[in-house]
Amino acid sequence: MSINRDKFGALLFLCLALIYGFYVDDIPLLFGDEDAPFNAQTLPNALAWILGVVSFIQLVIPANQEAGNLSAAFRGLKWGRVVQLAVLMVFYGFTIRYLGFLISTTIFLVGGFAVLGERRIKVLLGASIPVVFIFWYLLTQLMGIYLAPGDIFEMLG
Amino acid sequence: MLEGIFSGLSTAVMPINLLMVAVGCFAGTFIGMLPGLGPITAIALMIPITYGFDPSTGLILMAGVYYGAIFGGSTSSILINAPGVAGTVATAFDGYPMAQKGQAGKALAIAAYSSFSGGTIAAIFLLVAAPVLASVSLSFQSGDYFALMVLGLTAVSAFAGKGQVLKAITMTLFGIMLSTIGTDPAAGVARFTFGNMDLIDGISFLLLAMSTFALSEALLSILRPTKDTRTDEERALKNLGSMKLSKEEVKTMIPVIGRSSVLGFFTGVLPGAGATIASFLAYGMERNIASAKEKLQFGKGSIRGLAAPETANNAACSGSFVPLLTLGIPGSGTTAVMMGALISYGVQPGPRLFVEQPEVFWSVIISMYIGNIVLLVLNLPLIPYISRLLALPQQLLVPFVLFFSLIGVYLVTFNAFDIHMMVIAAAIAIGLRLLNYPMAPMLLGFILGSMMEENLRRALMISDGSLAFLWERPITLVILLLSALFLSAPLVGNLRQWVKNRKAVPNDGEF
Repeated sequence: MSINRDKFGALLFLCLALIYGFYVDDIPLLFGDEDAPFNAQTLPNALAWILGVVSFIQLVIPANQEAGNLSAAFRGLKWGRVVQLAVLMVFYGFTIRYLGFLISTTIFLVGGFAVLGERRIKVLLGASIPVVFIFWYLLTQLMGIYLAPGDIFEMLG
Repeated sequence: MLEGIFSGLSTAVMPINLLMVAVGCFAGTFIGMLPGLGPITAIALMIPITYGFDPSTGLILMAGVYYGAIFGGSTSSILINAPGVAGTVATAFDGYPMAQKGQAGKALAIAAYSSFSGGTIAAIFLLVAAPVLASVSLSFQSGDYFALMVLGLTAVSAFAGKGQVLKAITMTLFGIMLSTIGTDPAAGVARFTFGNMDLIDGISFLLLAMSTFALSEALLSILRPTKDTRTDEERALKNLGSMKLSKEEVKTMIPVIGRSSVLGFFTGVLPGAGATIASFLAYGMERNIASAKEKLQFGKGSIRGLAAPETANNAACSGSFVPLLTLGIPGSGTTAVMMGALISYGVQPGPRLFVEQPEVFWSVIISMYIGNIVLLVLNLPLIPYISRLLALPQQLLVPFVLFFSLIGVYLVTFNAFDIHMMVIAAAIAIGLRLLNYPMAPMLLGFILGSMMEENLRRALMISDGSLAFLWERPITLVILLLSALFLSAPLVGNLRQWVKNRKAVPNDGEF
């Protein structure tokens, strides 16, 4: 059994409206704000209701057959490389402070090229190292942006 | 006003700004020619580069990129029938058949002259309309602003296209929801931060724009590989043919350009309509008013069919600056990104911009003329050379786009959490794109959400909690009625279609 793509989207947003609406009560109110015409909960409350109603309408109206099935929308996609690139980006986020801009960015670019099928060492290094250095020079020397050396260098003294 | 124009002119012709217009046009043309990357991505990628500049220079660079990206999209449409941007889809209807007849050079020249004329005429309209509207809008009150923002958001949803209205409304609401994350500016209380200190300041607009456009578009090109059109494009560029136009052809183009400029500009001013609708409207208008003999040429390489959408899409680009510069309300995803950039420079677009920072206001308008000249004089002859950059293989291009997106956001806060947040936002955006949800309404909802809340709060406080401010002033009422009309028109249309279909089913069953 496969659900219509639009209906699945509407279902997701209905869930989002319910979860969002559930957490609206967690927004703290200042003393006396409970009776104010507009407080920190007013807009979130209205949004939860409106999104809930809009998604519900989309769920109950006749399905748009042109939208196709959910499985068709996700079929034939090349997830492997995208997941590897996502992991590489997360890794870049973890290393940029520790290894510093130059090393972490070079690793990120070389890794990215490699994930997408580039195997020639000359290209891997030739397309990454000069770009990283030029960009670093532009940022630090021309635009005056301070890029701290990685924590690892401070640890090494 | 004259003083302002001269001040803008002197800012726009500063060597750095002239350089930025040229760089912007080149970069925009290159990115616009790349399959899968649109003007929003092109502009978003430029934002980090503009941090060190003053607001005028930054905005001038981005305006150049905007024009360049539209022009680059036209090039792909004409040469290989692969529009890089939705606004240039109609260009391919007659541009591609012309290229197939061996007149690619002529088609590119018509596109460039039409874009130049459309952009220039619209910039003149902008020069006249913007200050008038800005002075009128100085008398606007919080309630009017609230109504205008509602109008902007509903129009974006209403113009979303058949079957997409509810999805666009959903995405607008989702964008407003995202804008409520962080500290409530009025009460100072945290909302939806779940105790995470990194969310106290809310989600940055740049982060959202970069992840939902640049990152997700780059990753989607890997996820859903389309035919790599760059070799076709390079091949087509080798056989351009002559770029010269005959007197007869120029005569045919002039009235088309005049009509399409006006239509394009006013369509661009409407929030949500933008370059895509303008180009289709202009194409449709030209086909409708053409003689029976000329009509046959449409779709087979008609000069009118190519000049009309090209003029209109550029005129609409200029038109879309009117609500941004005068009301501080972006009418499209592209101008929303520009507004986000302006706010990050410390400039608040809106009627006060015209009074307080006239040099920013006017230099942007003046730079539009310069941008159009750059496109015509430099980009057109240099198209074959720009296209050589397309030889950069995808396995190198995508990591570079990812890197520029990530580092652009990281350089604002130097917080690695933002990089992780971008990965999550890009993953959600990819999922939503696969479910066919449009991203631009979300960006507009996000940027207008906090402003709308602020204005609604102020209006309610002033009126002591009464909703009467919605109908007390005629202007507020008119704007809200327009919003209701925009919103109900596609819904009523859908409902009528549904009723018609339901009536048709029993009849079918009788046979």
